[in-house]
Amino acid sequence: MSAYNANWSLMTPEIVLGILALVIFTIDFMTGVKGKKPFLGRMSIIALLVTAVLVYINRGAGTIADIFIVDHFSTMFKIILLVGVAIVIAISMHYLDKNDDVYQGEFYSLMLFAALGAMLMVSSADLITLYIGLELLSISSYCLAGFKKHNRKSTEGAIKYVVLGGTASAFILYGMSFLYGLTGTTSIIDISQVISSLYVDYPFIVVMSILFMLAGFGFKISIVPFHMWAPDVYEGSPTPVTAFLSVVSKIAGFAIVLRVFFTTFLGSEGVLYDEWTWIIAIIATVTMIVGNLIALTQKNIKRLMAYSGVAQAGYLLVPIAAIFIPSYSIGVIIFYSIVYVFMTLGAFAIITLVTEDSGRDDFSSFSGLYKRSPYMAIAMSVFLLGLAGLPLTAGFVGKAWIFISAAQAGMLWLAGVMFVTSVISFYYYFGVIKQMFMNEPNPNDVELKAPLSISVVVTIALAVTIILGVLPGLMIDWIAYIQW
Amino acid sequence: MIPNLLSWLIFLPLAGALLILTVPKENKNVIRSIAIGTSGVTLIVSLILWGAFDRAFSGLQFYQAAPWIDLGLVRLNYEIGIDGLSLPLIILTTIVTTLSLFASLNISERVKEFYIWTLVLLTGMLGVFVAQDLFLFFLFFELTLIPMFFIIGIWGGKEKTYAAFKFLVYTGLGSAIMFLSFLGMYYYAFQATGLQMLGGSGFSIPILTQIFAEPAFAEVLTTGVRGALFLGLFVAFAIKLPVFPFHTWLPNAHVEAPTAASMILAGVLLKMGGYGLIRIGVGILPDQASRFALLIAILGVINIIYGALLALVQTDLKRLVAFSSISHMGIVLLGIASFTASGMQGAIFQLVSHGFISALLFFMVGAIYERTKTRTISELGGLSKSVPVLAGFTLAAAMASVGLPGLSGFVSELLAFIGIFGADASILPAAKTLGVIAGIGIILTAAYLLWAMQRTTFGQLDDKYKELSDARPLEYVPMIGLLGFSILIGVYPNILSDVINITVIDILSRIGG
Repeated sequence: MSAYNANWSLMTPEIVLGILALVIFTIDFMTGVKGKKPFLGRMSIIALLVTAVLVYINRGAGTIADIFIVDHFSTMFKIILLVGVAIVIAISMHYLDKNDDVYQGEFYSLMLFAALGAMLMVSSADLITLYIGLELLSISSYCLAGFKKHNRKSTEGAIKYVVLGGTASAFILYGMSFLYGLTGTTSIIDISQVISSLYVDYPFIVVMSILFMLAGFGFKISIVPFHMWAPDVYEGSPTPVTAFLSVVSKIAGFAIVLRVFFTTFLGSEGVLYDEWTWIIAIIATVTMIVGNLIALTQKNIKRLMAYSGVAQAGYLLVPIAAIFIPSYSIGVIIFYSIVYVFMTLGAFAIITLVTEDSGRDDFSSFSGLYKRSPYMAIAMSVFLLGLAGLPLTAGFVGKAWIFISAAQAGMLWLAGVMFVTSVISFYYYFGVIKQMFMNEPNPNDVELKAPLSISVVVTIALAVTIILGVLPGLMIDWIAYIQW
Repeated sequence: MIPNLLSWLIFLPLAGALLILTVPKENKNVIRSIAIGTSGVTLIVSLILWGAFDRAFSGLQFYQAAPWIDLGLVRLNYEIGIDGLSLPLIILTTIVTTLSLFASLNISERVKEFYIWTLVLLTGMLGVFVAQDLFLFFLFFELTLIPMFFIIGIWGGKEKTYAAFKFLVYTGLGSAIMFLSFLGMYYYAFQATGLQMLGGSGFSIPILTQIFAEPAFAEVLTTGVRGALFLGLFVAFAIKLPVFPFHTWLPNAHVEAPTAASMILAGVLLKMGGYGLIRIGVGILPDQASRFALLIAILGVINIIYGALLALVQTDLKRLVAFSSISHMGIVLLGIASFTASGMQGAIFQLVSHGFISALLFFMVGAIYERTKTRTISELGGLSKSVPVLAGFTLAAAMASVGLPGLSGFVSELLAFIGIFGADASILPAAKTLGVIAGIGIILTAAYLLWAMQRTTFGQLDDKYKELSDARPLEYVPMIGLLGFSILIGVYPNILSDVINITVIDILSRIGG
């Protein structure tokens, strides 16, 4: 099937989102460049939700000329990502309301373009499409990270992000070029059909290709040793952008890691199984240990979230290393991704609220939060307990499923590393809880009033975190067997 | 009979906590009444269970199972039930918690939160004792961690933050080792049975017990695997019990916790360790438990002696009681390690008996501290003159702890020692030697407790303590309640043993086979 008579309607959600992003971009110009524009935020949220609905309606399987796939996997990830971006925009509306020195319209349209890039990534069946999606996401993120133009930290973070992100992209391209050189095609599906026979003749080149791509993708999902950018960029970026980076970028990155590696290298007869397992298992181990240990020493809440995000990426690598049945591992990762999105965004909503109120982003801004806003303090505790993996939160079920899947694959030691590092994480998550419940508020911090957008986000995230913690079946039944 | 009685039991406190959430925090007395009422209803439910329990049936009673989470390859079930091992501890939990709520009436800051956490804690503790699925057991076990962290960290003494974090990290590590052992059990059971288990739950305690008892699976479930799993479980529960050298969290947590929390910690939370060891360690891996009997017994003796020696040198009354807990938990280990019916009974008796006695001791220390503002033994003295009732109950609690005949401590120690002296030499070599050394520990117990009593309740009364007020009416509730149960068990031990007996015989029968 050529590109001319392909079923282009499969791309409807992407096209709609692209058009809506341009419309919002245009409206922004028509209403003057500066000033508060909350209506654009509302429009963006609606655009994202409309797209999510279209993705769901369009969920049937199909491909466009072997470059673009729509399947359960992509549908699931797209919905997660679109809902994630919508929540980030809801948080941003409060942030932009407090900071009117930034160009608001650009902010929203960049978010939408980033979401579009992420959607293209998870649907791509071709290395070129994938790269275009990745760059659309990355370049939008670079701009977003440096959005506070007059703030040194924001600029510093953005520059680091551009330089290192560009290098990571180069690594990905270099790794892809090896595959292209071997197979003569950029289609992931075609590559997967010939790679096993080529591996016999050229094992070194295939492994190098994996390693180069892993280094590049590893940057996007911030795994050790490719995580160095994360703390500085997270700290410097506007808080909603930090939330965006730690959720949307990361989950989209995981989606393409799964897509590329599972299709290409595991597609036929589990080729490269042993090397794969060991490389990923070692990276996961190092990521969990380094992320959690460095998080212990942090005093700044955004840097803490950066290292906690590194550790969480390590947890998500565990089911990729310990593969019992590939589709099963994907189910585990999707469930934990959903859980992670809601817990992290809930936490970031409260972090935005608190840090914007006090103007500081060290731990002490959380002192005595239980007195200033009991609901926010309780919700924050639930999110942190969830990230730590304690019971009656969705994080507990998600982590338990990762442990069980690791046990099923016979990698008890990896589950052991994950569990012990999780216990280390108790220390810093409870450190924030201690600030909120066991310290008195700063004298000049008064009662904290949450705006509607933040309250709604926090309530939704809280409901999902608790409901999926008690009745995870609601979601698991739906994703347990993703068709691959 | 009310259906799903056990589920009512564990979720009632949670419902009470949610109810309190809706009450404005200014209505302190409403909150207190709801908390005590909820816990009282839970107590009544547990007493109904006690009455309806079939003492001649060795299997699980009030059994309830429902699919909970289907993970595709493994199903996690909501599986609960009780036997003669769980029931006494459930009664202990409901009684000690209800009475500890009376002890917490003097808490006036952040009352609402305190009672919510205590009720959540109650759900967690009861859940641990009824869960028959390892995953559910773990969930409830972890659930107890969060409320205790908050209770110690918010309402604790001077070093509360340090104590709370130490409690958190130790217990967390214990949970980590425990869950890994559970995963290991699941993994090897999965390997052994293969596809047969895919439909069933891989974490169900009754199913795992059968699988690990099945000789046909010996190829996969080798001695090495079983030994490693047992040691993992042992270390995990040893942290909770606590067993030397994993005991260092206990003095901090117990001393810094507010009185009510100390009562629950010593009275119930430690018992989860002993319960887990018997239910899961001995219950599923009986052959390994008996293989490591000598290790368990030696650690038990170390606990008894070491705990007693440390208690002897304490200058702080609350620390002394905390170290006495370590010493008394040694008797539990000793009883288990004997692998005789009376030894095992002694261990369970000791769990229950120590629950009442240590809760009473902590309550008394709390009551004295509230009045004198000091816990330093050398600053106290002659309290029997100014507060005769409090001093009297303190003395009675100490006597119960020493093991005076007629009180519950005597029965449990006697049973444990009968067990150890009657132990099978093939299972536990040098049993008599260990028994004699442990006996010395019992003498030390008498020494540190009597000496402490002599220095606090008798002797010269400091002038500043002359005007102390004696026990308030509401303080009589926990004092009489806890001492009453200790006397009841001491005078009429059958009330417990006819519940425990058949379960103990059932567990021991697995070792022979």
